[in-house]
Amino acid sequence: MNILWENLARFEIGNVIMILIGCVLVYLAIKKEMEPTLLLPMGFGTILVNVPLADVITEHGALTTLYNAGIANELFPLLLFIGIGAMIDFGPLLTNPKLMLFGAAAQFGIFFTLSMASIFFGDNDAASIAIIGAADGPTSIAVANTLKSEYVGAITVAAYSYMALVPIIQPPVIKALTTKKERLIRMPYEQKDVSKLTRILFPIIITIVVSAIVPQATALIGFLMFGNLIRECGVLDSLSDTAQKVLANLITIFLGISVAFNMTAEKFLKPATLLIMFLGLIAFIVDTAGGVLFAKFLNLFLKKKINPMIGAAGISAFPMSGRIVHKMGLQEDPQNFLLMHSIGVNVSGQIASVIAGGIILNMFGA
Amino acid sequence: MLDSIKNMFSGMNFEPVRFVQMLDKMGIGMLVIFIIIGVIILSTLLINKIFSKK
Repeated sequence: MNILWENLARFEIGNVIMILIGCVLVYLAIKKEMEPTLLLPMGFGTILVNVPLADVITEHGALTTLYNAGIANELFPLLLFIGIGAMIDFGPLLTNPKLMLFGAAAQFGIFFTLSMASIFFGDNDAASIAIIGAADGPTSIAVANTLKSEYVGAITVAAYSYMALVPIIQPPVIKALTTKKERLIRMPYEQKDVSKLTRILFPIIITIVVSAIVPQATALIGFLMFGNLIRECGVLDSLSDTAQKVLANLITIFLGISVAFNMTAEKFLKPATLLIMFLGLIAFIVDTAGGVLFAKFLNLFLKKKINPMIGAAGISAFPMSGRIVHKMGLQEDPQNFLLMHSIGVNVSGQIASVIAGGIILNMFGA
Repeated sequence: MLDSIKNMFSGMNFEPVRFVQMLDKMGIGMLVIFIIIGVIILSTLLINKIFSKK
């Protein structure tokens, strides 16, 4: 009986708060459907690691083993990229490659946040926090781990929470930066056939170009494009299907629960966590603003005007961001179909965010 | 008590001047992204032109 009380007495206020946070994550995942594939395993993992003397995070504990096997060496985020690459159709982007410029512009939030975060944190932690603006969970986890940030847990929570909150964060920013007249700009979509050879060459060329200029991005871009090549080659349909479903699901389960390794009270319950959440929000807002303002800037020189709202889809968060822009276009004018353009910009954001991750690693990595 | 408060803020600083010091990294980072994306756009336009469906 004494043992029972002794074990219960080991619970500290920090453990209780973290277990409550874990329950909130599980609640948000189930009830609000906020990124449930990641927040649910992460929430449950948070409960597990905050039980005093829990054997899951001892030296040879199950979560320690999973963390060392898949997160400390960035294996899980990279494997997840194979699945993501297999899910992405670059067709809309190949039809109009110039849309990729918006993907680049919408990474501004990352570098702005880098400057902001450096006021409060050292270089590597600031860079890891800035990459929340990639709006891409696996990139955030991979960069933060490579840079050995002590805030991996908070960064992951921020990245995935804000990705889920994109439908709430982006519309007010877009509306604040555009006039009604600009939001009404129509962009007719010209359907062009993209040859199979182009679709096959695209991932190979991107891998070579990006790896040659930013070698630190080779793994990130390489695994993403490998997944896409499996999809587009036409002879590996079964592998493509497996990558999109089984592999992506399996890795997401392991990734989510392993990330919770960092969600212990002593690592998470710090003022820094609140600051990281705030800086992550800034990153998403400035990303959105960067894309929209870049489109407005281009409109100064273009005869055929661009609807500046599509610039906002350059934030990665695929495919939510593209859909939001499309929906906002329809709200302004039920006949304005921006989907193909916004999805094209959105997939370019996926590529650009990975490149940004590589640049950050190039600047701050060992 | 003081130690535990210090511990909570460990690893954090407040140096506003670092914002300005990092601006060059912001400029270089955005420049490199645009250069890479520019090369990708040109490559894509080229392969589209060469291998487009006739």
